[in-house]
Amino acid sequence: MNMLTVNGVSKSFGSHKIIDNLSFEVPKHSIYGFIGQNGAGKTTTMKMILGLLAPDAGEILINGEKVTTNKNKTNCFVGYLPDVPEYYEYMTPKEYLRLCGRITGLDKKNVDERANKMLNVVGLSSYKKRIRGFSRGMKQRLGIAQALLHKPKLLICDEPTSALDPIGRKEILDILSSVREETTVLFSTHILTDVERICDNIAFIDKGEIILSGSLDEVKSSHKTFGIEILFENEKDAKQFFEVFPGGKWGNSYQLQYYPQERYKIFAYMKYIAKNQMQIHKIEQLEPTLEDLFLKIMEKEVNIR
Amino acid sequence: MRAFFEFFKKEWLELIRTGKFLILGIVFLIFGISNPAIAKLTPWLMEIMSEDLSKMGLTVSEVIVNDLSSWTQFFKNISMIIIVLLIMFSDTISKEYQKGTLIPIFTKGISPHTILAAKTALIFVCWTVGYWCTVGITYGYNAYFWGNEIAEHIGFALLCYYLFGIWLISVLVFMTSVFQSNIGVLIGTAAVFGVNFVGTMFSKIIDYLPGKLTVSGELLTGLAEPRAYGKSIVITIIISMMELGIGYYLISKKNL
Repeated sequence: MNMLTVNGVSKSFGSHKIIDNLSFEVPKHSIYGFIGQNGAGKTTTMKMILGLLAPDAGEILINGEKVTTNKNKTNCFVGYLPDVPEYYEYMTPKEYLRLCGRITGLDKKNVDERANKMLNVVGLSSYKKRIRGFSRGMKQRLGIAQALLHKPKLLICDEPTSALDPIGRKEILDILSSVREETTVLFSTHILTDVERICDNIAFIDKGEIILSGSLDEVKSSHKTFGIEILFENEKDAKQFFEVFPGGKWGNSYQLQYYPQERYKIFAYMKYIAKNQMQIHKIEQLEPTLEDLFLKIMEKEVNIR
Repeated sequence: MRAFFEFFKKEWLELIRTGKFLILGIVFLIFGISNPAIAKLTPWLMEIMSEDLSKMGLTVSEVIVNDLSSWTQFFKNISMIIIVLLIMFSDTISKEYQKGTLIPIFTKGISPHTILAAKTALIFVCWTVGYWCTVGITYGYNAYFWGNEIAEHIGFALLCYYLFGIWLISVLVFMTSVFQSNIGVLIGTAAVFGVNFVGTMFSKIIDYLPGKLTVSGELLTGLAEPRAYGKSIVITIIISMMELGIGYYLISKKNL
């Protein structure tokens, strides 16, 4: 069962087409990474899912119900964390959460209970002062608290870690991982290491179109390349090896990278190195990172266009 | 309705914590006191200046002041108060759109109409409370100094100006749903105010304009009857409702 279904959605601003016939599905209880460069159309898609923008074509379903623009009923299932969340700075975090909770329809007793719980989860329960003066990380944490306040079935986060330092990023990612049991997370980003850390499903979006999607493992294995990297200790050995096995790419100092067609070519390399007693620092099979994959796909896209 | 009250409470908190309440309170208070004070001090000021004026060849006859002078002063000054009020609330929507503070709130399921309604309600409350407090202060001092007997139709004249204020706030609300920036809102409101003001200079159309409601001199001196204001009152109420209605329609079309 899918929590979110985006079906043939398009959106233009003037003559500029931002989203072009976009379709994807987010399964329940997954953390879905929505990956793309700045300007790829991630935020526009999210705003349409939230009913803040009306799509020109197509439909969006959340938990089986159709999304409408303005006073969107499906928003009671959804929590949203904007990329740079802004709050009423003259309020304290608790007052702000109370306002959000009351608007979503929580009663007075429940709203205090939930607000306290969420402030605990995001580590802001000791802050009694007003939001003015909060750091970016603290604002982001408050953003998660407000987004999760009404126990949403779908949590949408727009680049939640982009503006944060490594500690702040880790905190946010840990919180997102921890809520997976209760909710489904759609998480846009261009930081691919974050995606590798917490997402189970991903989609690459470019110029308003999905160019690759699936589970993280599927995507990685379907685009597996068998790279081999050898770091020699001296120039002589490196050059000799290169003469025997041409086609490698020179890296820093005496580093060679090969992308052979056969998967087990590494054994031939190792055999030659051992036979000739060559001095090496390391020989390793390269695991493709999401970043390599992303760059490769983007390169292909540019070539096609 | 709950969302409306919660958002109204938020607006109220904002008014107090950002110091706007204090500023408005002081402005309304000062104006309330200054109307009778200026009237009361005028003879004394004239006396001080009479020597200088007589050297210049001007003779000053005895100046008689009464509650009429104070009320005349009131109707001159009140336009300043409404300008302060309009400037203060001109960014009520635009600053939220520019900063993005409404995005998390909208995603909680509140409609743009509710937000605009709560904001409009707060401006109306500020105008209503502030205006009638100023009236009360002026009335009180007048009663103490002279009694409120000379000026005629004072209650009606006050109601007319109050309605004029409601109309101007409706213009402001309409403009906030049209323009993205508070400069646009202020220029738009000022333009409507200006057109209305120019219109009041033409005797053929003045009776059909909201601006008629600010012309209180003839009423106070008994030269005009409340009847003469009927058309203007009806038209002002209709235009105000239309402005609010269109404003509410437009705000729902606005993209965040």
